[in-house]
Amino acid sequence: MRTLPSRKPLGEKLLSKLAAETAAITGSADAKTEAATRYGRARKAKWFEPVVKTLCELAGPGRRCMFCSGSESSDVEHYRPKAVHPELAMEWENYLWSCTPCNRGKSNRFPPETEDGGLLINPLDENVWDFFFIDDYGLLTPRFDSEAGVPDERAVSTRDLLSLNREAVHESRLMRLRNLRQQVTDTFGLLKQRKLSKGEARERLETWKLEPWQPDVASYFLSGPGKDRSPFKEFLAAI
Amino acid sequence: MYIKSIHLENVRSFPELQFDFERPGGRFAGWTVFVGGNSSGKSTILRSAALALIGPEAGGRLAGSPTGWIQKGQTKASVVLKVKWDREYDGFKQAGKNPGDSFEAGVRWFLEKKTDEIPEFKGVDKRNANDTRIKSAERGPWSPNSFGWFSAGYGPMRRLTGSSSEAMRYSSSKELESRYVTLFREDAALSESEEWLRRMHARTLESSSSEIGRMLEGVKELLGDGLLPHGMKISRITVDHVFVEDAKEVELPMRDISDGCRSIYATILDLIHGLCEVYGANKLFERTSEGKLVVACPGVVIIDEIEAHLHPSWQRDIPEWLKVHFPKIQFLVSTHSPLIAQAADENGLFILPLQSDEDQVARPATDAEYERIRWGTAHKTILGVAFGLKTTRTRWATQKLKRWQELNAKHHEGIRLAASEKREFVQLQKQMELAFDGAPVDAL
Repeated sequence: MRTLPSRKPLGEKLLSKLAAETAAITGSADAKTEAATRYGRARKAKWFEPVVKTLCELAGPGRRCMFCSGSESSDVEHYRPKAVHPELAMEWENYLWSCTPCNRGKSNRFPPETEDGGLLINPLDENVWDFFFIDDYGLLTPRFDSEAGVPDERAVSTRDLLSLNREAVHESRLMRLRNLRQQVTDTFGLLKQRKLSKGEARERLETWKLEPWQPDVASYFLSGPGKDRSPFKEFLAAI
Repeated sequence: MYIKSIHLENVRSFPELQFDFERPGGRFAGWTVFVGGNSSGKSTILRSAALALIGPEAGGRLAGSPTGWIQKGQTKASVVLKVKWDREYDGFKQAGKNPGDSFEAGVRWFLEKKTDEIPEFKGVDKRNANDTRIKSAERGPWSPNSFGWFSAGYGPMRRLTGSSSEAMRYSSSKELESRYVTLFREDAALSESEEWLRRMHARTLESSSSEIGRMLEGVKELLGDGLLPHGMKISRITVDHVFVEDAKEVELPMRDISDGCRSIYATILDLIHGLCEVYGANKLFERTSEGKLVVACPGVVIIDEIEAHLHPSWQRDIPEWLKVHFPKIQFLVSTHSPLIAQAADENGLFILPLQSDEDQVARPATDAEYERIRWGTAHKTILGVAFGLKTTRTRWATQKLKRWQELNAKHHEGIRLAASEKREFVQLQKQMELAFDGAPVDAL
């Protein structure tokens, strides 16, 4: 998970096309089958391409999965599954961008509507750092809910359902974290020795922020609450 | 011959499946691997291919009851192979027009009436434009008397000894199914090949023909060429025993060596034995330009769970050994081992989803997936698309990591930890260094 730009509105024409599809689905006797057919057709259709393009823009460099930020290729994901909510199959507000492993973990489950547990966090429409932090070992960790006296229920359910610390992703995240920390330390060193100007250091910062490798790490430690952690804190204060 | 493609219809868990095995450049020999969880259908594919290769008659004797092959709710099922044949090695029995480059060989199961319980098991009828039956399969691979058409199949239980008498009866018969017994029957053993070596040795004693003697020397040289660890090799063949010796010159009868070594010896000996029966002792071996002795005969070899009994280092090396020493064989293997899968040749990796994964279908790996696997580590392969593990840690370790996250989350929020929690937290923090190769700061 990472901070994403806020969901931009689609164009009028596209929205009305989506609305027409939704009307056809809800008007059908078998809405679930209709939703699957219509979405399947749309996903291959030319008119739907701007939807995908907009989602990709929101996902940023590398079009990483909005849930795990890993490097598996991603596709359009229904936040509320179309098999459970056929009326949302063609709804822009219901779309996310997710990789196959996350998508499979989520599948048609949408707790607690289809099973017990807390709701899934929506990485595009909610502030993810209210729910998670990244620890020193690169583990995406549910924050502790001090009122409830337990880790945040929704964060725990999101982590476990999508396996957000599955080994392939976690190892990549830990490597990015170690790498980024090294880059920041090195750059900070050069800055102190005056071998690098503040402007040059800021340029580097911008490149790190745009790096497509596990962008959740950069999002947390360079732009998010992780800015308070050493060595990021000292470096950011110096420039 | 080689299998060009396989097509299943309503066979067990597969409504439909089509796999093409041709590699770039039109080759077929090499390593083709099927991966997938338990009961994903790997054995079904291998056994289906075997039945279509040997035909309904031999296949019927081998597979036993034909029940259970048709998918639930269906009345018929079929498996059809496209078989590519080799004019130099494969011959057709009886006069007739020989097919072109390849032909179809298929078997089918069908219920005459929907209420029938036991299906019929027959060959798939192929007709030409004049409605005449094409009998390529009957005259070729399915005929016990035609020349060539080598194929063999091995199940996960590959032993030298301990076979039940019924299974023995199959493996020592000269029929086509004898080379497939262990693929279908768990109680079968591969004892016949060791016996064959001893018999061949006896024959050299009573005949002046040097052909068999040369063949036996060839077998010894082949099996001694880095197949077994610790420089193990066949030291002596006597009328009573085949002896195996290691680098320390400890000599043991073959039936007393370890399970892994025995199962490998048994399989490869059986393979050589079969090829020798089919192509003759003279055609068996060839020396490469580098002077390496190899078995240069073509054919299809099916192995179910080839990694059984094998140490990981062996799992890594055995595919390469087989490919080098049987350069013209098309190996079709199933595996649960990333090390075996990584040896797959081009267009040789097929992924079967679990039956619970309803939205997934059996498919070849994409080029990108294949490249990642063949260049990758076993660890990455096991976590990747072919095996799909989320973690390789134990449940115990995974629970501990979650507990660490919980305590660390509390600490992160600035909440005071109770004394017992603090002790646990400090201890877990140290252990995290083990779990993640170093302290977060030390890693810099």
